[in-house]
Amino acid sequence: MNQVRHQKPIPLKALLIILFLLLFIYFYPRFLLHFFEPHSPWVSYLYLYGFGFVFFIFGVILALKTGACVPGRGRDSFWLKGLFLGFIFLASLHAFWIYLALTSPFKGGS
Amino acid sequence: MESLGVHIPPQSVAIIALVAVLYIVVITAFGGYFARFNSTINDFFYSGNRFAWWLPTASMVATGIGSYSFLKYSEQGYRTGMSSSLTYMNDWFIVPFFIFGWLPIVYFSRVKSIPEYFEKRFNKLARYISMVIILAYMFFYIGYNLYTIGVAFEGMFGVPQKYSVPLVALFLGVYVTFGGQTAVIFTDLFQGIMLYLAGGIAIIAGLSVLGGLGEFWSWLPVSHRLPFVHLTDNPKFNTAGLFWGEALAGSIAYTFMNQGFIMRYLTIKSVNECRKAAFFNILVTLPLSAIVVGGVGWIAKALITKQAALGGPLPGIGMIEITNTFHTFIIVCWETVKHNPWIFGFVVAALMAALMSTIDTFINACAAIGIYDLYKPLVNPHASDEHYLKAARWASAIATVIGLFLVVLFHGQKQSLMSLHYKGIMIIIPSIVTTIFLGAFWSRFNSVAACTSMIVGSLVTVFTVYFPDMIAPLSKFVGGPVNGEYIYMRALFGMVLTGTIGVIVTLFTSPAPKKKVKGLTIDTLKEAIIKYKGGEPHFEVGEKLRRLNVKINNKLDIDQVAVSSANMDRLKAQEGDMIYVEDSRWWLGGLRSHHVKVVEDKSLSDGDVSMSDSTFKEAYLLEGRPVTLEKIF
Repeated sequence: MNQVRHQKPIPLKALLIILFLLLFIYFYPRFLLHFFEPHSPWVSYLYLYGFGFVFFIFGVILALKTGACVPGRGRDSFWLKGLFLGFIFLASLHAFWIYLALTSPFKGGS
Repeated sequence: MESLGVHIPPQSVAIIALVAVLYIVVITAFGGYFARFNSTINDFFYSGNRFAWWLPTASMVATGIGSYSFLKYSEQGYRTGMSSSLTYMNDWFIVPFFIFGWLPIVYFSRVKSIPEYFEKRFNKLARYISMVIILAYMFFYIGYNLYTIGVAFEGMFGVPQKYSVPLVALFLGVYVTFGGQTAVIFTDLFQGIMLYLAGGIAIIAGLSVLGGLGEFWSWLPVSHRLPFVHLTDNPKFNTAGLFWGEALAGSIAYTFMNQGFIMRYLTIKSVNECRKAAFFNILVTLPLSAIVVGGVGWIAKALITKQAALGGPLPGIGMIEITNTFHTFIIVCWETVKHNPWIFGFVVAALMAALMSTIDTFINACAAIGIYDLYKPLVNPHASDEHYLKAARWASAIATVIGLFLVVLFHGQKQSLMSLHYKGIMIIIPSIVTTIFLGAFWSRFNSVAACTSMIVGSLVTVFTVYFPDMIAPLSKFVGGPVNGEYIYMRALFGMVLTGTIGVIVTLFTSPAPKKKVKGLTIDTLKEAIIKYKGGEPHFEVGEKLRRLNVKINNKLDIDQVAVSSANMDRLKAQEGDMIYVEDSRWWLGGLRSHHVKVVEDKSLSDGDVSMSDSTFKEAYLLEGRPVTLEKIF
């Protein structure tokens, strides 16, 4: 393999981000279960959209930092806005769905 | 026949079978028609990168819904309710990585297959390791789909699988072999409409029996109305597992490494249009598909709850009893369409559509890998395009036959279809998904790390099938279930393991030279664009020029068009910019179109565009038909 020696040290910033992520992944579900009743659908909702948002925002930051998305260039701003609107749309849709499910009467008894 | 929980009288079976067979014949003829649009190997696999976004998107509907989907999701919908939609509605988190990262990388680097990307980014060994994993994934889907349709046919018509499966494979093989990707896209477009129609009929019939949408909602238990299941309670279907295994691993696999889907995106005329396709697919078609495939299961639950409360069958239909939940779709559908064999036959034809549209994509994708990763580089590297086109047709036929043989493997399995499906997929995908991710988003990740992590990651993931307790600590760490099954958590385990190996090996070895990764990672995308265009890109967005008349000018180079100075301004184009020319009829979706370079011709009027006869023919344009011009960059 035609490879050259790379002298770069392991970046401290990357290690700190990984450490923060691991702590978040460990404590976030426990935090949810502490503050909500375990059978509440909001626990699942916040688990999905909480972790999902971290992953999503990491992707957005990566695209911006690497120059894959440059706001103001071509249609990049449009797609960036679309990404956030799409996230808000799906998160709102699911939240409204849960609200509707919990508040509408059920005819089949208790 | 009662093995699918319904008794269908023999005369009705004959009508249903007639509708289904007619459907297969019509689709085969329809697909075969598109053979005329394949003059090169690029046409055969990528339809010349010419389509508008909506055409492949509409056809992706049918690809994403397999023959198992109606049966599996109706069963899940009956058991856990509307949470069955979750697997279709949790893909948004990976979209930034896809639309700004992987999609432009694959599109601009002009790779023809994912393994080819692995060779460019890493080395030959990485290419062939990835090829084995990707083929395993795709053949798994082909075999699995053929098997499920065999199960359904055996249950409904009593036709043994050894007859029904080869017959279906034969028809499928014919149109994919001759029609290529264009046939796949157009037949899938048609079949997607069929799927939505049939699913819609089944749902409307159920709602009408229940007394309307309001009645359906009020008879559906609260637990079944919710879009989520409990975080960990159900070992086979829990939110924590679904997030890590399905929303991340599964979605990345389906979007990033599924050669069939990647090929669909590569048929689209520009990255901008690909982004439209991705947005529309995730925000509109996937949620709609979730309703279409799971709706009958939700209705089944409401029907049975209402039936129990009323103490007998609902007016106009018989008593619905579901002893085996896998039969939910067939039982409820047969009852709610009131035993009408013609309507039920149409629904069965939709099952066929679901099967055919999923498998045709995978067959075409397997054939692409066969040609671009095996035949061309290893067997016959310098043959003519005509030769490769013939070889591609043979490769499609061979892929169909291999898929057919795989049905035998599934036949001996005792597990339910759903656990078979997820168990298989969650074992195959983690290592390759992680390697793609590291390769595309981390320039330092090198070939030694890629090969090591793919091999070790795959092997250890397979071990977890025999030693599932290995997954328990990780599952506990992420707040997931500790239940000994870990259907979805297996994927997370495989990804974490592959990622850890990849990172450690990379940090202790030298990275590939910068020259090697240029244009193949997210931070080097600009180089990819320059290479793709053959010059500096101009991102300024111009106007679309519609209804221009074509003048033939054979002094122009091939793949070149000339427009007036005013039109150059309206396009916001400079000489040499990439332009897309298409027949002005939008509904053709770019079937008659081509990518060209633009030059200025001051003598041309604003209503005209000129091009050589060869360019005209290559774009499949028709005499007397006006064209539309659009700047790509």
